[in-house]
Amino acid sequence: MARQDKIPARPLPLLRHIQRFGGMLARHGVPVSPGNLIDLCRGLAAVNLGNRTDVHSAARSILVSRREHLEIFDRVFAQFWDSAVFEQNPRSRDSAGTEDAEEGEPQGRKEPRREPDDGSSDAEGENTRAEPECSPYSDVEVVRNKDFAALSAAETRQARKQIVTLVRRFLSYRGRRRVSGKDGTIPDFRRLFRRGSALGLPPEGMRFLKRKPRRPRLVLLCDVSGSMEKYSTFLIQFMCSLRMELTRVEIGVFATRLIMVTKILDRRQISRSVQELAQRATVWGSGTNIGASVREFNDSQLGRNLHHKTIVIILSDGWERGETDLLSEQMRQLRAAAWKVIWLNPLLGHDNYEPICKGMRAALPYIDYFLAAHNVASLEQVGRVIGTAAR
Amino acid sequence: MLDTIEEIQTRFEAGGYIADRSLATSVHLARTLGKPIFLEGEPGVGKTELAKVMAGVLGSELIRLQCYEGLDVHNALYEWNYLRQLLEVRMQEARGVEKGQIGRNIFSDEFLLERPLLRAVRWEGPAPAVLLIDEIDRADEEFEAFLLEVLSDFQITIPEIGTIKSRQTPFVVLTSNRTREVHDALKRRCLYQWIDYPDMEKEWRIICTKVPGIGDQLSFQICRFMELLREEEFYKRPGIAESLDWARALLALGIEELAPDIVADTLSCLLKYKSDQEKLTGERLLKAIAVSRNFKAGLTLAGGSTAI
Repeated sequence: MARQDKIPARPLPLLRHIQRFGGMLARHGVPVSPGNLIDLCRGLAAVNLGNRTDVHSAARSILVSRREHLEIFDRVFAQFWDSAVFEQNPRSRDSAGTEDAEEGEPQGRKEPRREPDDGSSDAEGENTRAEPECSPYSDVEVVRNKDFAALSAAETRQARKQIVTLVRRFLSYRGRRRVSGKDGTIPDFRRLFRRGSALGLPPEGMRFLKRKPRRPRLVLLCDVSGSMEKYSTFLIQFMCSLRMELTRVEIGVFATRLIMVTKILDRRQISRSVQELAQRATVWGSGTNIGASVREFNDSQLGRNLHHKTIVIILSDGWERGETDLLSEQMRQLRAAAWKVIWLNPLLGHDNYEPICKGMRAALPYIDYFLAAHNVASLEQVGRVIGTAAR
Repeated sequence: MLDTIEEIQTRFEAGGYIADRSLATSVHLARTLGKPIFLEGEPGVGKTELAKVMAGVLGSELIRLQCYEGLDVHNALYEWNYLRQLLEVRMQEARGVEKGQIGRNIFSDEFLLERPLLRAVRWEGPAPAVLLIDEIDRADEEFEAFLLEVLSDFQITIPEIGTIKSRQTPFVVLTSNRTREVHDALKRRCLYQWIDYPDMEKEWRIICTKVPGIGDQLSFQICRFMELLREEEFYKRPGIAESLDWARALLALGIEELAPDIVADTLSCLLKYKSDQEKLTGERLLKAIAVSRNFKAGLTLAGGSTAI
């Protein structure tokens, strides 16, 4: 009752406003579910609606579930409730376009309007998908179009297979969670007692607890600066394969700065993601500042994708244009936070290569494994080494 | 009891916890809506403390589940006491009890080891229990998924005994230090609250509440120094827990005012990494101390109300 007194003269205004507020949040990237909105309605009944701070805190703790969204929420909240609720005409400022349409027939129109949209985008999706169907490795084509150094389609396919086996092999370690199995040292009492009623062995024999294999988080940082240009085909292959095979992988490309591209690498449509990669990752082919890029990674990902169960793979030739002090300090921090740091260097494959360039020298003390990655054969070696590392 | 936001603030303050209005609102909502409260923030900002104080205020028990990697149902929910069961089997066999009957006998309440979650569900106090699920980010995803189920309806099924439903929904506090991102599905069932480093006024009130006997001059200087410290880029910035440790240390040493040598000697209370300590030496340290020492005016004391 008190609620309706607060807000001037429209039928059920609060409910409508809450609904639109939820929509506005969603458009700004804060996902809001109907369940949350119901909770909000219940929550608002428990606070004084006349007190803006309380309403704000209540709505915030109910609708937001990530720190990154707090700021967006505050902004949207201010914008929405300043413009909408406390003015006579709630549609005045914020509600151009779609919201006006909603006002008339709130639910009925929205759905059918959306449907043709979805339909057409689906159709588009099918069109673009149709092409790769004839040549399943269509990414090769795109890669070739992008003027990267030549690798034949067969070679590429082979490389990709290699990468996949490699990834499968090393991305497993024994965690601390225990599961029941047929061998081991600790008897699985729980199962034995339940199945065998403690009087003899159960029909399926003795059971033990053993440590469950787990997958660490993998982060791949790829150098795409000018000096790495000729390995670009391989880089893209590597990134796409990882992305397709694993859910728990984060991928970034860097040259002068770092761009996280995990989202861009669509898991099903390689050709499209390569195109998008070329458009979005604008650092491609420029100079190298590994130190600054690693710092960007440390600062933004620590505690999220960078933690004690993260394997970080850096793929770079180590030619550094920036400060080497910065690079070694950042590598130290990275090493302290991550589980393993692996550096793959395409140059290492050449017989007479020595890591004498200053960037590589600065980073070397903080690397667990320094490995070659210039052709398919070297990848097998990488797979073997990493397989033992992840135990 | 605890029916308004103001009351929560007052009762918490009496319990030694300074809660700002936004946090108090979340606590209020958590009680009204019967939802868990999810606290995130840097280490040492008072996440765990909130649950402890809540238990004190409610006059009920704090049931704590400390999370770690590999934490599973047996350690969180319940476990059978196998050793006792084995002994019982032997004894009943000797008495000639029929086999099927023994099987039924050994799965009774007597042989059940209660773990924190079961304890919270079976709680029957006059006031609801406070269930603290501490550092959920350390547990693995499987445990999160399991927790979802328990937190949604507070009932637990033990195959041999049956379903136990809680009579009184506990007040649940989950905390996370963000060493990893907790799954959205779990967070969305909770009321989310980010606890930041306190502002100077709040920190001053906390120090005065928690460290009785500390002089105004010293406490002001500590707060100002901490504020300066948190503006610096450290690997681990000090939280309130560190401020309190430091204040207690200085008080124990009989210090009344910050001085360079004293700060340098006690810096280990504040900065726990060697690289961080090395950053704060020489000029920077002296400057920070000078600024803190000059900071006296501006705070008015009457009744703890401060204006900066």
